[in-house]
Amino acid sequence: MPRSIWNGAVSFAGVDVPVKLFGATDPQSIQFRELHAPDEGEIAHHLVDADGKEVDRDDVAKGFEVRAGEFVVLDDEEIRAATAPKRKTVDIEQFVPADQIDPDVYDRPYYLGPQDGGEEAYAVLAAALERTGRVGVGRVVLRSREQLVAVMVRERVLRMHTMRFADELVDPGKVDLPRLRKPDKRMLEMAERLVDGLSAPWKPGKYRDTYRDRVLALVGKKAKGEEIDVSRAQAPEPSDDLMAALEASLQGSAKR
Amino acid sequence: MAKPRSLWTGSISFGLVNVPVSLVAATRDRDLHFRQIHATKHEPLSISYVCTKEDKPVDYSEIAHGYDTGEGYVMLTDDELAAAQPEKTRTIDIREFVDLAEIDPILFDHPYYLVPAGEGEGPLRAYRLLADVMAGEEKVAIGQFVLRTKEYLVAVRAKDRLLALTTMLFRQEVRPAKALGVPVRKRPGKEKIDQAAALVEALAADFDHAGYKDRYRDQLRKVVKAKEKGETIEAPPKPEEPGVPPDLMEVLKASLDEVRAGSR
Repeated sequence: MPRSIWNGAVSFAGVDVPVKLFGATDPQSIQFRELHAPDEGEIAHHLVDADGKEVDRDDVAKGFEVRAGEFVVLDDEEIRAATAPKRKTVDIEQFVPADQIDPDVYDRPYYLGPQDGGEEAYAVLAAALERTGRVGVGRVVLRSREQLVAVMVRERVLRMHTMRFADELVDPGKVDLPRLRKPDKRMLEMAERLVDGLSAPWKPGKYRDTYRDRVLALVGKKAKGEEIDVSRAQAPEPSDDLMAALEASLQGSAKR
Repeated sequence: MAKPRSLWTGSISFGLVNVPVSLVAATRDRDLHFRQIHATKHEPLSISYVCTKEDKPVDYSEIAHGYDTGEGYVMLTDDELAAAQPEKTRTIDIREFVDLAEIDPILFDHPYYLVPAGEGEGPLRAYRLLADVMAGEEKVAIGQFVLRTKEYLVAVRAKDRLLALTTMLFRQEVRPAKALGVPVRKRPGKEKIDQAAALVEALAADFDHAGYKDRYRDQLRKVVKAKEKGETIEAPPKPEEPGVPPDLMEVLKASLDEVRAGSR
């Protein structure tokens, strides 16, 4: 059994569902240590003052800049006081249709497990969400910060995703784009055929990270003292003649 | 408007159509940030990268990646890392188109936008074509690429006039839910589910994203202001631990009565 990050309750309309919170992902990034390239010395991060002198950890405080160069110091307890919850709960405010939430709103996913004795309440909430197709939107204080979260069900397991606020997402309409001419009808039809030819049911299990293994192989090579060829592969040529590229693509996919 | 900073440059390809693109942020940081400052002098501090061999600060450009083999480090430079799989560090190769609704959101990692990087008429047209065709069919394009030192699965779709890219984790990077002790076999009684579903429906609403404000920012600002005025900030009391409801059916019924009475 993994260790829980937080214990509390999902609370909706006065009903408490006691839960434990667990991390849901385990990204397989390669762990590197920063080294100084010329002498392979390990890099340490030192906090320094304006003169470049190292400052002892005990002399470091958290400051909030209220005016240029003017700081108000807060300790961790005072920061915690900003959002002191009365109860350890995920307070559900509303239940919304799951398909109304754009996936870019979701930030970090967690699993919810039942607390001992809370299994029935857990199963009841899971079943009710499943039946209604809704997601509970609410707030919880995690690590002394109030978060907007969504509580949802998938295969009878409850999950909680932290959510980004609307003003934390860049409006796509406000991103600078060069003038893009509308594609003509024939090109659009060809592109549609290409997309249809490449359409498939979603099977996430079949995609693999191959880069990680290649990097580890590279590490092995270098450990043996072999030279690594860094002449990078050419980037593909931009398609200047779009029509020709579409035609060639369609011919290629027909052959497959 | 300022041009957004490019986080990666390469191309996106589908079939034999290649479009040069830059990756830009789709999120922005609205958090209130504390800085690390000197406790008594109140001077802002900065981080210095120090080589422990020479005990001397070094320039960030001289830092390489060390992989710990257990018998010491093997060092790789940025160029060598990119050479591990050059095509994936430079191209997002679209392999398939799928329905967005089929993708479990647990896989989604971080949202970005792709903007055209080339000036040529052909690539600009191809960018628009890809956006238009996906918008029309409500499809997302699935590909893979390497960003910094990690490979991601990506979903590319049309958002407004833009191509939006969301990085995803691989299925193998999601922990199985089995170990959590979730009671998936035993179904609770129908009556309790009915009551709970009725409660869910009583609190039903449409999702109004902009309607949710980040209260934490304001709360933090208030505490900063109080401290600035010299007020004492009291340590918060320990939050109450909610317990297991003794009679679930009774709680559900009482809540439903209350919600219904309130909504009338």
